[in-house]
Amino acid sequence: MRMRQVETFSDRTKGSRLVFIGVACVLAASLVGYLVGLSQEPYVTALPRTTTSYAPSTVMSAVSYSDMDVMSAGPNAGWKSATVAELAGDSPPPPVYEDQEQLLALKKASLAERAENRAFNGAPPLVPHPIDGLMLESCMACHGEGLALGEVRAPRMSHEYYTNCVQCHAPLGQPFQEVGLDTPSVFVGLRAPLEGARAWEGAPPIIPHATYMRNDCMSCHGPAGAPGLRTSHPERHNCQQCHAPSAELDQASIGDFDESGFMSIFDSRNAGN
Amino acid sequence: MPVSGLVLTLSANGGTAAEAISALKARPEIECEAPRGNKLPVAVDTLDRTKDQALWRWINELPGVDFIDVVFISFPEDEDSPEVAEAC
Amino acid sequence: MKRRDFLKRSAMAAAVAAAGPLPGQTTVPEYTESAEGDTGLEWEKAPCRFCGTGCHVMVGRENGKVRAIAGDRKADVNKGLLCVKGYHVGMILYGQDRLRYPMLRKNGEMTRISWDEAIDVIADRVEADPAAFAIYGSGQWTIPEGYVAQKFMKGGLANNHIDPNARLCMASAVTGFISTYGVDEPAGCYQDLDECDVLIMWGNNPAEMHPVLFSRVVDRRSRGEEILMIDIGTRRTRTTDHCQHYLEFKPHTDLAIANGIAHLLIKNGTWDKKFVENHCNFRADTEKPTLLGREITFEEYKKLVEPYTPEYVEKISGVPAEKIRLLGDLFGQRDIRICSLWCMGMNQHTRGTAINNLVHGVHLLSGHFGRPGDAPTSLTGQPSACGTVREVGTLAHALPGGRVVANAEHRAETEKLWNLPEGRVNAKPGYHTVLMWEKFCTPTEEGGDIGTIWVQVTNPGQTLPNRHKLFEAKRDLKDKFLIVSEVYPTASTELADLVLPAALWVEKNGVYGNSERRTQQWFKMVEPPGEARDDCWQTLAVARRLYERGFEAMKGRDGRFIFDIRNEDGSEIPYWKWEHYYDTNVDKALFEEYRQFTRLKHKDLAPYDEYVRAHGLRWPVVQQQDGTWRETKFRFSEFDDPYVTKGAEFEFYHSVTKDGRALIWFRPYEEPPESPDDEFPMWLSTGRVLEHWHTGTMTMRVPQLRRAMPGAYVEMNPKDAARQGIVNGERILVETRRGSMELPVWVEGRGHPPEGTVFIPFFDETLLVNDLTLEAYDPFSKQPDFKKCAVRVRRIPNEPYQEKGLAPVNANAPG
Repeated sequence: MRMRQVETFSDRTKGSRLVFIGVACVLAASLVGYLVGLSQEPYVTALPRTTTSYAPSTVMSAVSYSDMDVMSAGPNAGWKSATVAELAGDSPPPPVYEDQEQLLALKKASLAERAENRAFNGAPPLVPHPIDGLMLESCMACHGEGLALGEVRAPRMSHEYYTNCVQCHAPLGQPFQEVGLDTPSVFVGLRAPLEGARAWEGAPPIIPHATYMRNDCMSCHGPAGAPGLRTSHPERHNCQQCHAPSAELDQASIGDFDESGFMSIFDSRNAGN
Repeated sequence: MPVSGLVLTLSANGGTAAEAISALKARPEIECEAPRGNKLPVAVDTLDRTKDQALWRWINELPGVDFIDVVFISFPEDEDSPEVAEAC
Repeated sequence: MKRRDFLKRSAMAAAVAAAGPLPGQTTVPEYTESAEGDTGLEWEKAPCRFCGTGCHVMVGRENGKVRAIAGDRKADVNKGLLCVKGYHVGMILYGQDRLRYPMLRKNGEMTRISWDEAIDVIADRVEADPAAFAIYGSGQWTIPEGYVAQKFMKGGLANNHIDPNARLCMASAVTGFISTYGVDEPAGCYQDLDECDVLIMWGNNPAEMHPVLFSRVVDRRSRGEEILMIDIGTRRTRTTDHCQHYLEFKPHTDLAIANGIAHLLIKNGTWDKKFVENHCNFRADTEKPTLLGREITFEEYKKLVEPYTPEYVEKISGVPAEKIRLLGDLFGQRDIRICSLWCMGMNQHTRGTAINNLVHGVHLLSGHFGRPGDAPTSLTGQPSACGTVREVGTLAHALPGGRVVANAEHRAETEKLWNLPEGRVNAKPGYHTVLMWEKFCTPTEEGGDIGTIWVQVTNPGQTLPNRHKLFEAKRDLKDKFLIVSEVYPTASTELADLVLPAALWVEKNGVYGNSERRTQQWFKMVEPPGEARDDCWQTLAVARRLYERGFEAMKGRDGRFIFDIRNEDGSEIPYWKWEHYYDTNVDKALFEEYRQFTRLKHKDLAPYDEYVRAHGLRWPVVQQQDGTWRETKFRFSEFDDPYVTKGAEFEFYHSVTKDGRALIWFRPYEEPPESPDDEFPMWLSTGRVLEHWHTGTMTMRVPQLRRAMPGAYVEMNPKDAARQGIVNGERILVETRRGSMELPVWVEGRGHPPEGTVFIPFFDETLLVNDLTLEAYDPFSKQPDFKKCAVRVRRIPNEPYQEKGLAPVNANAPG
């Protein structure tokens, strides 16, 4: 089953967090052990003790073997999460769905997983993995064309190229203090619809979301998209030939162009004026 | 004498991984927990460092185990070893 | 239990924890269906709640709740794009701990009271001692909110003790504009960012603080345009990464750099003779420096900048002489367009007015002024620092529309427009921020003559400098009374005697004014929680209560209430009763009244309804012959500004010297008030981060933003850290002469201070960096310097992180 592809990245970070929890357990155990009267404290080796190394900021320092397991970023991070065979193999071909029920289940799972990573449908997704803030172009290495490698999937950018990725996509926290998304809030974000409306059974569904900033359909619906969201007909390239976008969501009223050539926008409150 | 906690990374090949688990369970020095994905937590209790090392080597060579991570180790004094404890 | 079993269990526990959860133990997210998706929402425009950029967002709501946000493609400011805060702005309404009810401290305990009682408590405090009552607001006030507070104080109580937190934010920019052009606010607009060839950032980090504007520049590069970007800074930031040149200067020496450019322009003969001859006069300090100084000739000016050779500037600032020459050469080229950007780096400076003058001066001297792309542009940090503070004039010395209390004519005009008895407006300026809080924190019998402060839309408990002295000292003064209108519990509400729950952002009507003179309007879209109510209503309700009690100061010339709003048929609207507040558009009524003030300084505003239609309009907004309203992008430039005399090309029509000319200043470099020494050997600088805004009151309640930046830290140079053996994540002790605090160290993190400098962001209410900062302020703007003071750092013995260490620094450096 290849249901939880997006999670793989976050699993890696979870993994490293759990190692830390492990350390905490061990430290706690050793303290309790000391208190119950052990003559010798257990020798904890859970993590190699790392002395901070300082290299010029633009060059990544080489990783020592002892550190490799706890790396949360860099080329060796999470190297055990895929086997050598998997890493060497080609990306599997996109599955062909025949079972509609299975397809629906996959779609629901993918949408739910997608919702975990953003505040509401349409919000820029968070960065689910550590990044090096000094080399923003490195985002493009995976998200420029998009890729799927084994269980790991890096969606292609759904919008045109902007230079400052972290302007909109919030990275993970600092390396020394982590909080999850559990800040108390009663905000209920808009959830993704299961499908766009169809004029009749069998008609192509309309696009149920804005296409502004999501104008590359292949980002989510292409062969490297999440299971259940991929198009059943990747051989067709002109999506909007059959799937109609929403002028209101795209903030555009057809035929109304401003001087820059952009379609000017429809303001709901002032529509009557 | 040594007591250690290990995390074994099992091979993606389900068959050899299952065989490895049975082999591990068959050793009295080794206690296995349920595997978490391809990670298998085990506790190992051996009589002395030599035996501990030998066991470590055996696990390392066991088909179906890709990696070993040592997350806990302790060397209790001899009088705490099972034989001594039982002798008391 | 046998010890051995215990050990085995410990071993297994460690292994289990490290191996991760059992399959099925992880929580698999569940899909919640949304029947219609995005199409089911109602969308409406509003300016973003955060910084001074003034992006427009589209707010999507459903069943009375905000459920989604999108960038507004029609907005000229942001053209559809937002930053990470803007995309999550709707969520600030929904933190779980929103304040819902008025709370009064009774015998030390906060007790829920009714609004009626709360209004009485405030009215009692005012009546007891009107001269000792002060209002402290901010650039987050909407224009009507600030206008009401302004009129309440200056037209009512007439003690002039009203000041905003903008004093801590851009007061030096104001004094800089006034002493250069005779009138406040930038001449250019954001279009300068689209057209400049060279962008110079003076102590500025727009990649994090004004990211949408920064993208407006750097995205030009992906369209194939070439822009030379220069970062003149004291610490490497995300902005530096995009710049071709990084000129690192010793804190406070930016004045020497600006003078160095002027020196080169004159020495090389590359200054713009025509522009200077036609449009500029020269100025220098009097013996005892004043805001407006004394006139000097060009020859005198030449002599004053003479010593600032590139080598001399290098000696003072540490910037290599050839980089000073680079700046001199660029400004010497008339065919390229140069835009300067600055914000807190130049404003939070004890020489803030002076450095503002100098940067304007360099642009004027070189003629890089008034053409699209050629502009000295100051940015603001708050959504309505310009609209509410600078234009409505909610400062201790100001009146609406660029007027000042010290000017008799201005007072008379104000009294007339407000229908007040002659002589009501007091000529003596009130206390500015630092003085107001100092007087509040001083015992009454020792001359502390501020007895009550009403704080609205800001958090002085976190933002005041040297907060032990200027805020915490209130704790022991039993006769002082602090009223705080807030949306969440903060460092300010902690010490409050009366807390009033406020409506936030789209829970009320509002009008903001952004950094480029753009006035922006929005409507209330959702109901505030519990009994939270508009700040504007709160002030009006207190005013009305005082009026009903017969308090003379709330009566106009004819005995009418000073905030009289009537129906078309002449009947009074009882909007001070909350249930009637939205019977009429109070914002509109107040805005139309305020609008009359805006002509004097040619900051003309259009009628309210024009702003309903537009996505903001830049003043002066001038009515055309066909009845339409036209905004002005480039002030003082004939091609765009209708107030410039025909044929003049440029005209500074509010000139200090009354001759249409701007002033080119010489202001010397001077030593900072506190520099590192043997005892405190390093510089401390403070500032913001991309994910959080101001004191984090709102953004720390957005899970996505808090996850990205969960807490404050101290940035250190790796060499400084290594010297003391400090590892990443280790908590260290940071001490200044005013206080000390423990913070985790982040080396090679978000920013990169040079050796001898540490940086701490101020957003974290659990780690209040203003316990450490210095309250020394600029003599003209009264704005404190949060950017530099002397500090020392020490390791804490047996700090647990020292043992744990962290994975190598670079690998963990997030973006």
